[in-house]
Parts: sequence; C-alpha cells; structure tokens
Amino acid sequence: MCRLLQALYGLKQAPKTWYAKLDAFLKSQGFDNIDPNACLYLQKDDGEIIIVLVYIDDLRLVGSSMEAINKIEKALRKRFEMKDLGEAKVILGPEISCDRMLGTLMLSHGKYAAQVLEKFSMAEYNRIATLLEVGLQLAKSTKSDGSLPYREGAGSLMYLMVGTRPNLAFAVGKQSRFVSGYGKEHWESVKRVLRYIKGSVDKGLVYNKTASGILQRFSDADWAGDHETRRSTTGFMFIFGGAAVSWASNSQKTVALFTIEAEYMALFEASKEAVWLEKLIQRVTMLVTQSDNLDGPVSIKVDNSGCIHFAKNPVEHKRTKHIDIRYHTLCGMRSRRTRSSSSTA
Amino acid sequence: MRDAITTDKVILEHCLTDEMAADPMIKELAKVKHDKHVKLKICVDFKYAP
Repeated sequence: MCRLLQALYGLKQAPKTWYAKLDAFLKSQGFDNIDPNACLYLQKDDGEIIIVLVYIDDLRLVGSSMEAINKIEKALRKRFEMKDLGEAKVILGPEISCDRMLGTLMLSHGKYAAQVLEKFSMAEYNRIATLLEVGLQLAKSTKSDGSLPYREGAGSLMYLMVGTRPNLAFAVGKQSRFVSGYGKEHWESVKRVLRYIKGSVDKGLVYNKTASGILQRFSDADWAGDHETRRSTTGFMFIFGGAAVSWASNSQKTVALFTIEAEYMALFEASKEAVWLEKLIQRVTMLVTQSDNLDGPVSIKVDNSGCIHFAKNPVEHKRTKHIDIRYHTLCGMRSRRTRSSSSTA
Repeated sequence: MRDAITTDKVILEHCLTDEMAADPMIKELAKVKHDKHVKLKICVDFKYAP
C-alpha cells in the first residue's frame, strides 16, 4: 500500500484537487466566484471587467479590453503551464462567430450539422420548412427495426438541440420516447427533421449587444398533447440579449386534468430554472455595478389567464384541490427571496 | 408559488399566444405559425433558406 503525496491524473480526486488549486489562484488574483456550478469568475479592476470561464482545464478569458485579458493571461502563465489558442472559435462544441461592427455573437453548429447530414445520407434530400407534421402521433413499436439508424439519428439531433437549436426541442423530445421501440414511421420523422436542418445549416443563436439585457421568461404547456399517455408537455424559454439562453420541452410527470393544471405544472418547472438564472445575472450585475442589493420581482410570461388567476387566488377550489402537492410545496418558501425550489424538487 | 405571487415576489404577466416564445417547445407548428415565430426573431433564426 502506498500513500500518495498528491492527486494523480486519472484518479477521481484529481479534478477536485485541480479545481481547488485553480480556484485558490483566481481568488488570490482578486476574482470572485460567481457560481461554483457554472465555474464563472469575474473581476472588476480599474473599471476593466475580466471574466474567466472554466471547463475542467480549459479556460476562456473574456475582458473589456485586450490589456485586461493579457494581464490575467500573464499571471496564469506564470503559475501554470498553458497554451494560448488565440481567439475562441469553438466553445464546448458550438462554433463562435463575432461581428464587432454589428455587435453580434453567433453560436452555431454548422459543421456538425453538415456532418450529421452526410452521415445519414441526407445531404441530397430536399429541404423542408417545418419540423414535424402538425398533429403527428407516433406509437411505440413492440419491436425495434435494427436496420434503421434511429437511435443515432435521435442522438445527433439531441446534441444539436441542447447546444444551439432550441427549436428542435419538441421534435427531439417526442422522438426520444421511442428509442426502445421504433419502426419506419419513427425514422421518417427523424428524416424530416434532418431535412429541416438542411435548410438551416448555418443558423444559430445570435446575441446582440443592443438587444434587451433583461431576462425574458416564457412558460407554456400543451394539455394532453400525447394521445397515448395523455400527458401534457411543459415548455419554457428564457431569452437574454436577443436570443435564447435556456429552454426545455418535457413530458409532464403526471396527467393534468385541466389546461390550468398543465400550465401550472409548466410554471413550476420554469421557475426552477428562473431562480438559478436570476441569481447568476444578479450576482454579475452586482459585481459590475458595485450595487449591494438588486432584489426585484421575477416575472414570467404565461398565455393562460386562468393559470394566472388560479395562482393569484389563494382559495382552494373543488376542481383544483387534487393538484399534486408537489406543485404547492413552493408555498413553504415564504422566508426566501424567490421561488428557490432546489429543496423541494 | 401562490405565496410568492401574492407577495409580489413573482409576477405573472399575460402574453398573447401569438407572442409566446415557448410555443415551439410544446407542439408542432404549421407553416403560418412557424413563420410568425421567425418574425419574432427571439430565438434561433428559424428562417427557411429558399
């Protein structure tokens, strides 16, 4: 038996030790850790803002000037052995393209999308304007047709959706339910989405510095949209700087009896994400503007008046008292600033 | 959730269905509605390259 004097590469303790080392170094340089989960560090020095984004041992340096970036890079070089890869072109998969004249930053998966089309021999197919046929209902097959690359196709689409294609979320969510029982009709739906991608290979998320810096939150639900299970679909989208920053499309865990109930469940899911994003934005704003407290109401946009009235009306109704206790547990958070749902989810 | 709403910590705003950015997250959109979302220009540029 040997006692290790330090963590070795490959051991499960190694990433933790590395993170602790980097964290201590960045803090010694005057950086504040905005959110430990996001590994986002920020420093305001002589009016210059420097942001360090950490992904294991990959660091992205963002600053209000090149001098500020060079300064932190020099300090990092002194402490760690590192390689400068120049201006960022890719970030964890998505490609980055900046237009400084227009003040835009675009995240896209153009190369990957083209590779996917080649892989599934869809490059020569005609483009199509919409994702899925309206009202398409797929049923799970008893046996999967192994000759079809359905799982690979659905997986590739999911990767695109998670990165830069929020508009694929519903289609991908639907297709993912059949990976254990699929046939020709399922594969046809994947092919249709691939044809849609063919018409929008070069599209992506475009953030504009002139766009609103206020986080807009939208929550919606499709009541009993799945004809097989009669479950509703939760969907939310958060927009910041002119493009989506967070999105989801999920089948709800329980069957909703009314539209209001489905919308209420969707609101609950949206609120969980809203709390995290709000905290992140507030902490960054507080550091940049040197303000003490930025507490304010969190607004969520809903298109169902009934849901708004139901949420505002504290009276339990015969028709609403059945709603799962899970969606009322947030009441217990009265001492907290907003609907922090981490302890109840 | 109700508590947060009644104490104005959370505000629920009503928005028109046509302006609901989360609409493509919950159902398939027909071409007309799809094009309306393109005009909103709020998330991915959905524009279909002809």
